[in-house]
Amino acid sequence: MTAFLRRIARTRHGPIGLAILLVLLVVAICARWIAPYDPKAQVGTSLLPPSSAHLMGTDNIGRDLFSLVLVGTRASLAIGISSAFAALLIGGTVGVLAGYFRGVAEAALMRLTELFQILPVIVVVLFAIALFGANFWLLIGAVALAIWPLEARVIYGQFVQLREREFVAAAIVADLPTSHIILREILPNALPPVIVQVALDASLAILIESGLGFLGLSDANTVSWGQLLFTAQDFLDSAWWMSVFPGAAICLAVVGFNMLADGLNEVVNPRAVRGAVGLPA
Amino acid sequence: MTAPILSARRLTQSFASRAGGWRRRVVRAVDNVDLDVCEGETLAIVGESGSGKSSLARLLLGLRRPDSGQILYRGEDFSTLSPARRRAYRREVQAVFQDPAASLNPRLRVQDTLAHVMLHHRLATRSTVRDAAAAELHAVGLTPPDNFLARYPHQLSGGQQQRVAIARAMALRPRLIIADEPLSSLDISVQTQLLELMTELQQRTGLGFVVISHDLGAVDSIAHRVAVMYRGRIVESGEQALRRPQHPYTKALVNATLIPDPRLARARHHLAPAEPVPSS
Repeated sequence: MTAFLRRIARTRHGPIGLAILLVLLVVAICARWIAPYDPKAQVGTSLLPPSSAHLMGTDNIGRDLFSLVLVGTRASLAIGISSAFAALLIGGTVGVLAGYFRGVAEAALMRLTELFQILPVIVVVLFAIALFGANFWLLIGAVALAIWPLEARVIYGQFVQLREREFVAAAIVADLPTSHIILREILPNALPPVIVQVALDASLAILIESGLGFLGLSDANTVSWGQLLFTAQDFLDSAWWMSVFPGAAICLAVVGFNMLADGLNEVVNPRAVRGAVGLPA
Repeated sequence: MTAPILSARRLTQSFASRAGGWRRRVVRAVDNVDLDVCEGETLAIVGESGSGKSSLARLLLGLRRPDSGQILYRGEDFSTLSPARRRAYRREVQAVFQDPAASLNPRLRVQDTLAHVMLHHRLATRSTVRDAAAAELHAVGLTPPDNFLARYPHQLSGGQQQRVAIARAMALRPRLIIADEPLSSLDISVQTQLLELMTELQQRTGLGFVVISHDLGAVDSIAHRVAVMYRGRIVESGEQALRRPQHPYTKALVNATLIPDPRLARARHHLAPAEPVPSS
């Protein structure tokens, strides 16, 4: 594990991404103690611009925005990470079955994946929330439902490729059970690009959650960055700080996950062209 | 020779290729092949690349299903084997592949590669498996075994990787090993050592080999019998197939190998350019 972290630290974008996410993680865990004010209490006049007393100003009902953003980190990160892993679980199962068994299973599962892929994400989530109401866990499920096809396709591609390799043939010839071949022989070799995809999906999940929050569809009882944006809409012309700071936080988290994914990609796929910008060598 | 352990009867497998535009062309990789492999013998299957040798090997290993024809395991049709007989087949017939780096799982240490196989077939228990794996490595000449048990495949040389692959096959005490181009990715000195190892294993355990190769020289030194494959068919087989070739393709194949001694090379009969190689 430490060796793996060291390798990420030697990539171009990995260390920055890792640092950003570590800071956000610490903030998410310790928000209650770092926050200068109780995020739910009215601590000043409403709509105060940023000052030394209120670093990010106050919102329309006089709450300290800095404290709100800090506390919101927890929900946003939790939704991002949990939905990425939930998507990995769904997409992974589908991709493994389709990629290993081929034939009818492959055709059915991959068509299903494509069906989900062409559904507009926001509509899927809106539909789920309209049916079941907004709560934290449902939100994770809905976001996962929207992004699992990405994971399914990556894992499917890996399995299709790896199952033709000779070590898999050797395992079949040695009569090892199919579950063993899938879980012990192929899966560990299939994981590297999947890890990259999970990191990318976490940032995608945070973006989707913010979008939902902005539309007023996130859980009203949990402070999240998207939800802060929702209230900020009405004050765009009078209180810029209400939308800029939560927006910057979303941006930071998304950039962090993307840079981490970039670093991971460089570690697991060293021959790929380094970095996304610039001409290939 | 004793009764055949594995036989092919009118075995056929074709692949559809879309090489030229939309029209589908069917390539018969294995075309009506009849073959018997007897216990304890070394049968070499030779032929140029693309002649269907590897496809035949994959069929004999049960990794693909033939389009038509049968494979018989000790006289029983492959498709109607009972689960118990099928397990027996899986234990008795093992494989060694061409690319030793690809035939070992890169994420498993040598000891785990061997342990998985031995534990599954109850050839060792959790407490004895390490010693059993060490004994298998010792048997294929990887000594001292302790130097190799904890290594990953990428920490081994090509020859060592192939020895581990042989050890994995030998761990099940097979009666037959089907080796698909086991030498072609190794350099000459390592090839010789592995040929010696195969001969030694055969003498010690009475094991049979099916060796698939395009290298006539290597094959000639260990094979009891040679089958020559050309365009999916076996055109000639027998103990003297390479020494006294009858079929024009075999003659051409024998002539195409390089002879290190120029005096011998000059004396060799050449296939006249005008003489056509028949297509079947």
